Amino acid sequence: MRILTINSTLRNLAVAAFRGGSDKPILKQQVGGSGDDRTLASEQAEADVFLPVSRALEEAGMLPLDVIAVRGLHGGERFKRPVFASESVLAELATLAPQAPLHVPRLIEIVEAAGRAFPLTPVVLVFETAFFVPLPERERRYGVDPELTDSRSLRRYGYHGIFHEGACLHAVRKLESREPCLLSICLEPRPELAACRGRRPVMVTGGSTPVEGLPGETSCGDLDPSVVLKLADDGRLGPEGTNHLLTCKSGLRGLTGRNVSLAELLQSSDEDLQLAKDVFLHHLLRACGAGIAALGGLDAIVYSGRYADSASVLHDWLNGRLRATLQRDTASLLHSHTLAQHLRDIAYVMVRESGVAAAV
Amino acid sequence: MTMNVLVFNCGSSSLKYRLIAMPGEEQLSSGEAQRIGPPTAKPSCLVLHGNGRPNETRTIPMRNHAEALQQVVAVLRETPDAMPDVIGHRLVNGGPTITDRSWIDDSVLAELIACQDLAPIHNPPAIATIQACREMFPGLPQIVISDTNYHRTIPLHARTYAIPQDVSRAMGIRKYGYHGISHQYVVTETARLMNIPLDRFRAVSCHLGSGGASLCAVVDGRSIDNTMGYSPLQGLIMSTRCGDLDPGITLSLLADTMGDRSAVETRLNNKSGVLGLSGRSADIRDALDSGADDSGSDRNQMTAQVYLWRLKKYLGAYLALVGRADAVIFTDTIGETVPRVRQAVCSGMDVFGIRLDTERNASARQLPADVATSDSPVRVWAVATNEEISIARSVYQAQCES
Repeated sequence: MRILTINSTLRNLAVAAFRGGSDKPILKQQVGGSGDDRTLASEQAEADVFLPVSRALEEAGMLPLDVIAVRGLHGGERFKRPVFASESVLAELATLAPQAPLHVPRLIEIVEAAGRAFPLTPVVLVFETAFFVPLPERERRYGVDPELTDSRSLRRYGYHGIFHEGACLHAVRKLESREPCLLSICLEPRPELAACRGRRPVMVTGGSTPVEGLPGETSCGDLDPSVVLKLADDGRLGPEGTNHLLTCKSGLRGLTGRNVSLAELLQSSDEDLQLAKDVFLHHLLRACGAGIAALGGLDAIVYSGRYADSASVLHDWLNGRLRATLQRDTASLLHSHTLAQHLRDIAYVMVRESGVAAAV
Repeated sequence: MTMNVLVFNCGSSSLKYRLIAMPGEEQLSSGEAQRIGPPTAKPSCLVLHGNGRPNETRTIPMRNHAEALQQVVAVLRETPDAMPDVIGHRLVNGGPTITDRSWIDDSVLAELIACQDLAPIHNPPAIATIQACREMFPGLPQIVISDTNYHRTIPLHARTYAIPQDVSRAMGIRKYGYHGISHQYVVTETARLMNIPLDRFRAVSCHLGSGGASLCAVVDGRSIDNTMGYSPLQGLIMSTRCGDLDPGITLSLLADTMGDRSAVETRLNNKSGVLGLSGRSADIRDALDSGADDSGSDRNQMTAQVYLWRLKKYLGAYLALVGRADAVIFTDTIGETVPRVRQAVCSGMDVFGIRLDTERNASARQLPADVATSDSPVRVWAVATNEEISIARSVYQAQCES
């Protein structure tokens, strides 16, 4: 099966093409603006990305494609699982734009552009939030008047569902147990911890937006609401400036004064990074404890994400701290799939189950 | 050295006082001025505790805290052999500089006034009371004991928010932590009850008031984290406060009100939490007690679940910080008198070494009470808090040291 995966963030667009079950992509390209260059018009996307991609795929003998998998950040409560894109699906997706005003329109642009470049190829949409749609009400609800949140579909999600789902499935198989108590730690620029009974999430650090939770490379994580209001009330910042500050200039960057990757932070013993490292680990340890309480036990911690290589050094530390509390060691598992590999696997299953492949 | 310590605990419209003979902790007199300020449906009054006899209520107009103080002092003078030697004032937030017990002089007072916005409901009347005391008792030493003081040992990485450090410094943004006087009292009491030296005592202290609530992680008798933050809004779900909230939601609420900060502050501080979730009562006991035939039972159940879930997650979070705890401590109105809350929060926590004895817990009326099973490695205590005694102890200690 010939599969193209597309991961579009606000700043860039990464494509990878796979053939059959090979884990090594035939083709890998990254196109993107940097800094504040956030928009990539659809014409541009088609011209700059999909035409050269299409030529490269042709040269590699990858055409026609069997399926294209596109990652979506926010699918609301409507999209509980991956779905084939169609006019009606895109129309439903468009209604979610108020919940994620930057991401949803961008995703629709990308899907439409891919549709023009590869008109005969089915497109699968894979949403990060889908895994978290069934979170129990006590976990997904905030401590405010339900009218305030429900009218705008504000609830807790979690924004690395693709990694968590893959990692938990891996752990279920490895542990040969149907519903093990798992802490899934996704080591990405916006790290996220989910507590799962097998493949069912019961708690997650992410919030109604990806800003809440653990501090990220540039995002603040948990913050006193009074501090948000104090910042926004400051004449220099205002609400827009506060949003930018908390999303793009905080986290590890805010604490160290420079751009630091999570991998560098975890591996380094640089004194300049010590405070940021301590802050991050403090929040992570707290999140682990909260997750263990939510689960009522712990069988293993499973690590994933692009910085999964740093898992061993991180686990040494976490296990040491948790040993004091739990009076025993905690097993660790590693799932080092890339996001593109996850997308490929999901698309593969979708095509197999739907019988679309037979038609191609 | 013996001395009489006069303790003042100021609310926005109340003034509690207690005269305590130290170090014996004998209570000489106590009471509370209520409904201080502009006239309300009921007149302002001074309630004198009978200490065994019935309370006496005197209806007296008191337009501000200085007038209330005059009435309190008049009452104290009725028993001339029981007058204060030193005065301790409770302050909710002592700001960045008043982090240790501070004797009041002109410069300390100036600093308190400069940071009164950190606790806009509680600090201004406390400062007014301090000023009035200086005039009425010019010769007496006075000291401020702040709730933030106990949390001065929270390490830098636990009190630093992950925002640009130049912004934090310029705007004075950091975690302070609150309820420190109560946390310190119950932690000290529980260590004593368990015969563990305070400087080796590890615990999670749960101050669950009918209004505010916070958890405190304690290592070696010292606070290392508190669920409240820069303000008392962060953390647990409280009677009318939302606790933790995605910064994105706060910003979208601000956008809805066209940037009206005080409207959002009022919404999150006064109309959220248990009140916002249940839509009818700010008291979690009403949601817990709601029967299945109650018209609002679904919403009450949801409210109770969200409240208890947040509490349980934070208990787990703090047990992870503390390492193997000696005890989990429950205190204040909800923590002391609602066994169901302790039951819900401590159930399924065997992984942390916590085993609650259902019967002991349900029947615990006389506090302090250890409500864990005999074989539970981590003990669970319900301990009545006593902020005034806690303040008197700090004052006594400071006076002896000086």
